[in-house]
Amino acid sequence: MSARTLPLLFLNLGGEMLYILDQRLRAQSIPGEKARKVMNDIITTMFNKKFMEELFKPQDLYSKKALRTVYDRLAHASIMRLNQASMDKLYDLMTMAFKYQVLLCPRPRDILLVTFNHLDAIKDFISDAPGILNQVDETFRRLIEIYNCLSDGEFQLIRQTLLIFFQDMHIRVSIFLKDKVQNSNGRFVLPISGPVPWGTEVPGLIRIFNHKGVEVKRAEFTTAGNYVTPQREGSFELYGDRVLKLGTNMYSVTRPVETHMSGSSKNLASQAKENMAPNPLAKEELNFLARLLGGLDIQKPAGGETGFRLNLFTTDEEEEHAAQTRPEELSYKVINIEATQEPGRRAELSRILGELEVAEPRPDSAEKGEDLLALMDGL
Amino acid sequence: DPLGTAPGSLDLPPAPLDLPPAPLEFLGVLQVPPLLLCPSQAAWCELPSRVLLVLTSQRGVQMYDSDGSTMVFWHALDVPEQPAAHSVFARGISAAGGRFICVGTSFGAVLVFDIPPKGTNVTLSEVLEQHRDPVTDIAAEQGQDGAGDLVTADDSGTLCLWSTGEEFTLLGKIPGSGSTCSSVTLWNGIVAAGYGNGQIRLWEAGSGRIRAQVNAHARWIYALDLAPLTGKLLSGAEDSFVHVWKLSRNPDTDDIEIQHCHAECVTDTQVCGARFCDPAGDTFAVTGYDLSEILCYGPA
Repeated sequence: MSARTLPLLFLNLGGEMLYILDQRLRAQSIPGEKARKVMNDIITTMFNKKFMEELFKPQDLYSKKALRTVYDRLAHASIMRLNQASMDKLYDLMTMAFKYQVLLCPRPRDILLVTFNHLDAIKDFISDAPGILNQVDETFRRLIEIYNCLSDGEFQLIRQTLLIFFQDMHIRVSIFLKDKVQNSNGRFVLPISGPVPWGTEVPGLIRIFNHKGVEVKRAEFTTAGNYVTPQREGSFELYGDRVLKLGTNMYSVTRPVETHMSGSSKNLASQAKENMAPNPLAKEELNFLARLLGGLDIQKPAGGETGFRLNLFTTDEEEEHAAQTRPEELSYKVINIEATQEPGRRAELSRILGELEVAEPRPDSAEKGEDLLALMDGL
Repeated sequence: DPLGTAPGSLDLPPAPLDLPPAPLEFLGVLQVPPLLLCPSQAAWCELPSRVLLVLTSQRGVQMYDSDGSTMVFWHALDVPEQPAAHSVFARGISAAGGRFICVGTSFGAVLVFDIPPKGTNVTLSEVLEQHRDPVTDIAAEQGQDGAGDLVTADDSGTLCLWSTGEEFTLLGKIPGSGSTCSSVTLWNGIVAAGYGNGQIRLWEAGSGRIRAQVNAHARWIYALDLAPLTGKLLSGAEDSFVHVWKLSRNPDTDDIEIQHCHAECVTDTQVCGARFCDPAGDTFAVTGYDLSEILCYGPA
């Protein structure tokens, strides 16, 4: 397990979250200024200086639940609200997209290009806000400084740590199914054609050398693979063509995405096991969360501002249905803090969590689905 | 099953050399103490006197009876209190020199344990400090006088050749050329090494000279295995392919030859473990990331 994994996990999942939110904000016709505020607020929070300092300290990864809690807070860093079903779906989409990118990464080192693709896109979201742009560039430079010099072996360790984190997650995503990059059983399709990774030769050649090291014979072999030589290597600098497309924005307004929660029974069983098993890391996890959330500066909506609710589903009925039919085992819910924890530590976490508590915006008609309409009427 | 949760290596019980391949037998589930969080590797080490099951992890090395029923020995790594920038782990396991078990570490050191014919009096007899990068894999073969009977590999692609004995002697060092050597085997004085760039290279153990270079896979090679009776070589990689090769020595020129014998595409599976199931290399088993099955292949 590499202690250098968490920043890459956080930034890439965050990047996927922003892609989806951007798509939903446009699909729900949220006015430009409001949508920009939401994106700006979330990105500002995500790249908070103190938070980034904590994030980049070498540390272990913790459970999916702990991380989910962080994104829950992050998604609610602005005037936008998501209910449980939409948040679940958002997190499912984020994690499956990044799992796909980690799995398909041509070389272990290319996980960095995937991250740079996300950061490039995030910079596009906030191109009119130079202050936030600086924040993102600072993280960008930190990434380059710490990661560019790591060895292939270290990157493979990071990649393996990420793959262990995503193991047994097989949620089906409509956009992947349609593009035929995911099978109906939730497993991703691994292509056996296309460019080989930079620095790799197309398979098929055997060269024999004599005892003096002089090449004396060549032979070829064939396989079912149909590979070609790559054109060029992607740029690992602050600006440049990354060449690799993994980690770029795959959503557009006309391409809504669905998840299929059915999964396989094995998947459900293993997730349930994770949720129920007593976690020997509960204490460390608490420390981790307290540290991370302590760095997160959540801005409360100012008095006059009206919030709105974002729906990750096409209709409110679908959202409600998803909430009712989601298997209990797949529910992330909130982290249980066991009563056996040290009281001091618990108080510290409650204090931090309390500070993060943001009042739900309550327009006059707060009925499900109506708040957004009411909000639109009021504009 | 804690062994099934990490994309680690696949190891199968050693088949006795003088018996025909027997069907695999389910040995039971190993209960790993909770201290050991994430085993990264497991291997049966076959010594003339006994067979031990060796596990490596972030915390250290554990040795069990061959059926996993009793823990014989536990060696803790020096793990810092706070997670450090550089990971700490043990990786690379091999029996060597008749009575030793060698285990590599992320510090680059290779730990040599002296194993008594029976009992739990295992001692750390030597620490080999030649690698500057984390050790990836270790391989040994019996009774190759002078040519070296142990090879160790690391993240930078560097290979070290050793002669085992009361004291281990470094015979030579093959510097890496940029790509990680992820897997290594040793057969009849030939070192077969698999790399992160998909290549397999064959080296003369005696001279350290390169004898063959194969553009074998389109992705990171995860596993190599060698069938000692026939010189068949198995390679498995993240490109979802498993290849079977045959190594031989031309008696006239003494050149080392390698032939491609068989290719198997394990559809949509990043292969992370591949092993022969019999000493002739007629059957092999494969597993991959996110796969809960072990797939077995053999003659139809």
